[in-house]
Amino acid sequence: MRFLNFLLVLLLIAAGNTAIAQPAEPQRQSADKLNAALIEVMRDAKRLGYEGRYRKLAPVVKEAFQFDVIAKSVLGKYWNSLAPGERDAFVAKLTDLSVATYASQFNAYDGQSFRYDGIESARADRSIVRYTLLVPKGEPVKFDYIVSPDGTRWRIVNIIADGISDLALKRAQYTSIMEREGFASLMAKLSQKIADYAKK
Amino acid sequence: MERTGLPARIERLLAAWLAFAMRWPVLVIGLAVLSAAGALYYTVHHLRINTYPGDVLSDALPWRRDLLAFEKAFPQSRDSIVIVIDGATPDQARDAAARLCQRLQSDTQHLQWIFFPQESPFFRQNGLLFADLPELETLSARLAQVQPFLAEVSSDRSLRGLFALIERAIGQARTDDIDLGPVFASIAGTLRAYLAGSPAHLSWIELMSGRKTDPGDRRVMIEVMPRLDFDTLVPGEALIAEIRQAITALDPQASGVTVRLTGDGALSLDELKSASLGAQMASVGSFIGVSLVMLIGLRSLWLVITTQIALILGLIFTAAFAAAALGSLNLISVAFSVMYIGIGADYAIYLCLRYRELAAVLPAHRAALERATLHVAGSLGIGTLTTAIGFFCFVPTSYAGVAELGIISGVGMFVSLIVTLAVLPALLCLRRPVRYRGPRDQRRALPRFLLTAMAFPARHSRGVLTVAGALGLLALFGLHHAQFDHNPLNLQDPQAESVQTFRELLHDSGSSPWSLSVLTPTAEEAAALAPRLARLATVAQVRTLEDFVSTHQDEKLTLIDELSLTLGPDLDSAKRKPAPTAAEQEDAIRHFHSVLAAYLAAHPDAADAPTGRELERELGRLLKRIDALPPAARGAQLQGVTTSLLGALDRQLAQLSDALHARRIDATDLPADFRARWVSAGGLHRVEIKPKEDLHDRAAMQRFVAEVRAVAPHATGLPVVYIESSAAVVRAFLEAFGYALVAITLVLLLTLERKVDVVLVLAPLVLASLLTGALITLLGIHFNFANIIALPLVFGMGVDNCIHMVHRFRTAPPADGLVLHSSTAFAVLLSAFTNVSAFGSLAVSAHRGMASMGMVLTVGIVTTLLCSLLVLPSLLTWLQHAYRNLRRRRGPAHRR
Repeated sequence: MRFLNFLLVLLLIAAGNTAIAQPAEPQRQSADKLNAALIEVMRDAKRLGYEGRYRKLAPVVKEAFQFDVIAKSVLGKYWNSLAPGERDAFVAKLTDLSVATYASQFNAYDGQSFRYDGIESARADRSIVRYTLLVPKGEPVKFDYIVSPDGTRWRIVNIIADGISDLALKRAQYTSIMEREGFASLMAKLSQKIADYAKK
Repeated sequence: MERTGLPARIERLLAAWLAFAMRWPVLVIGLAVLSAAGALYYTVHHLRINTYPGDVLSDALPWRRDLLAFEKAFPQSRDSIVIVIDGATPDQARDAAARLCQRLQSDTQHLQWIFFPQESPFFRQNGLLFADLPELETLSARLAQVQPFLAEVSSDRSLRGLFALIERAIGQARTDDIDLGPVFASIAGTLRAYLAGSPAHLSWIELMSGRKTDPGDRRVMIEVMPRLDFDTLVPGEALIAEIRQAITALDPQASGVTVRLTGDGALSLDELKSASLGAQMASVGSFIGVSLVMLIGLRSLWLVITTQIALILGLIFTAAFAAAALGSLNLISVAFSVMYIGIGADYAIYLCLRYRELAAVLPAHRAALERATLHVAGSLGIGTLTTAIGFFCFVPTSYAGVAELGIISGVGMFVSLIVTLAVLPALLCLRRPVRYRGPRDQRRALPRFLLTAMAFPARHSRGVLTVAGALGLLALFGLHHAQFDHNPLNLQDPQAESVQTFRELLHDSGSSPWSLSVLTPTAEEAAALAPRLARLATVAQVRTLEDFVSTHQDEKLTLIDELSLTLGPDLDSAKRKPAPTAAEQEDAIRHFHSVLAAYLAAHPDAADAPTGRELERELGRLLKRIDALPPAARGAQLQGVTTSLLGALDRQLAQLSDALHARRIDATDLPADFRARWVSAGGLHRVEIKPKEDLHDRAAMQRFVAEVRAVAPHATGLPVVYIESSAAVVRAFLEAFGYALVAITLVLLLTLERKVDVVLVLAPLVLASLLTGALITLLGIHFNFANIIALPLVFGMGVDNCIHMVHRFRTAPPADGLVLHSSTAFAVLLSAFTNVSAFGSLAVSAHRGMASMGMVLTVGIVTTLLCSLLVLPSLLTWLQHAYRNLRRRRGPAHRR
């Protein structure tokens, strides 16, 4: 009996240790990596330049986001009307745009850091991972990442910055362009935007 | 001494009673009043009124069995009250409904249940599943557009939050070409309404859905069921009072809603109110009218008073009989009082007039009274027997309401006879009604020109009969066009709130409260039947339980899922910024006003500039108004603006946030009270069929019912009830009249000495009936559930009139041989005028049924009068001539 008790205590300690030893909840991984990459490019922003930031961020962003899911949500009913080739092109464009946006906007370091605020579960086995971007000389910005399981990993499907949903913004703009001008025009406009970011 | 026409034994018995009553009049009167008091006490405590209109028909009819089976399976379908809430905006309608619902739910004393599925957790959560796919796509696209605004204003639900977010949107609009036109227009419109003193709030439902709502969206209905007690005259009255109180507490005007009550419960309450008001008006009118007419006719206040006393006594005894024998009255048998007053008053009038006539020529008024009573007893006896039998003929008909009316009225005739012969003389003997004018007094009751006029039928008997015959034939053809109006709404006061609201609902095919239902044993059968019914031209919509298990759930849930992802988790955020002070709110308006002005100056040609300028102007007016106020009063003004712009936000955000929790559902997930309307406790499935046309139109209702029943013969519901019960009523009345005619003929054959008199009584009666029917049709009045009750009364009076006239002619003809110069003819005239004055006032009642009943009674009484005073005397004269001619031709050899 004593031996059994001893074993049990050992097991409990071991279990506690592994919990502590785990770096973070799996839901956080994509967001943490993205945040870390963002801080990193900001710190090195001047040296890297837009091109450098783009190259550094591209693999991280591609890894962190589920762009096929995002693309579908963003286009709403128009998604179904696209040919498979068009869909792939759009996903690629969206990916490109996201990387370009990060590369162009996270272009200076002023002591910013991400603070992790917690995890909540959401509809359809998604989770919300909440962060605050602390800006020493400005207002903090809330960053809520909605992550969804994709195979063995959790990847980002939406970002809500200070309450404003990235998906909602994109969807409002893109669907109105789709409605008025069509897919080709949307692709052209996105390319233009990416080009604009590159010029800045 | 004249003959009485009574069997000798009865005559002796009656004479003995009269001697006793005249010797001890006070004792007899005292006993009568005492027993009446007892009867009244008994009646008040035992007589109930069953107000459910369907219950007046026999349960053996096949369509009644369908109805009863349906009501047993779905008991909630009957007698509910529908609260109809129309708001200036859909938000306000829903808000008022939710608040009303919440308040009423606490009333367990009067409320049996409340049905408001929209507010149930199930529909709040899964409501989006019931929108169709394109609708849902549009909605989610729109919500994505407004998400940034919602997020912002959700955490700061104040003017500060609202204007800050539009300011941000303006900044964004420049880069992302977002059209803010609709938002500017909505806010400008709300501010304009606010400044004009209108209670219309900014509709966040419209803003979020991005489409203008139609009146259907601004209407919300709640169904409530009172704890019912059919025995009270006014079911649900307490609950309705409670609802009215709750409505007042809601302050509908300030809340921008109108709240009205309709549904069967409210309709019957309004009906009872207007009907009883009509009856009261008629009572007062008839009391004054009857008293006046009697006073003119009887020319003695004493006779009028005694007649009225006799009438009241008889009514009480009859009601007591109804209480003892049947226990309850229904909406039709309650009309026995009309029959009683109509015919009972006649009996007293016959006696009083005959008494007056004799008292003028006999020195002892008691002897005159005895002779008068014994004489009228003969005709009253036969009259009572025939009229009562006529009424009893209603008993075997399938119309239980009419059957009960028949029983009570039939017995009432005997009560009337007994009161007239046994109690009235005791009253009458107390005073002499007229001066003694000597045995030779042949003083006319009427002026000479009238007497000459009254000789007309005798002089022109052939002409009168020819015209009467021709008219009768015409009437017979005219009757084919007689129509029965089965729509009970047409009986009600069209000004009543419940009636107007109900008609509005009927007009809108989506909300028609008159639908049909079919019971099927399984869901599969319901599903198989539904499409066959839906194909019909008169059918707008067919629903079964399965229709509430939404289709394409996978696609919809995917959409909702995306929507939830797009909108983010903090839609109805609990985290709020601290509420701004009045000064901060004011600053927010001023600041936004200048931001907007700057934007418009910079982009004068933007798509949203015109509405932007509109908003700028309204903001300017608002600021001007605020500036005019002393700083202390500004808080209230700002609070008002906040309410009209943001008052509807909370509920809508909460609703939207609930709706994002939709999940896969099947029929078993539906709320129990909802499910119970589609599947009975015994497992029967209901197929509900909504009409396309406005069923207030009679022909439309007939088309709808006929088409549906051709596919589903057991379909039931109010339209079937109305059409079938009107058919049953018409059949019942035709049968009743048929039986009555046969029975009356038999009674007359047995009781009248001369068999030819049977023809004399019946011919004018049949003619009067034909003419009444034809005239009513000619006047454009449809027969209906109310005025058809007038027909037995007219018929009964006709029988009595003719019997009295023939009896008088045979037993005590006036000296000049003209029956019209007798007190009996005058009594016929007087009783007709009495009845017209009693019931004619119904014709102006607000209750349409009562009014049409008044019309039919008036027409019927006038034609009956014409037939008994014009056709009957002509017939008598003509027969006399024919008889005399016959005798003359046969020669003196036949004379002994």
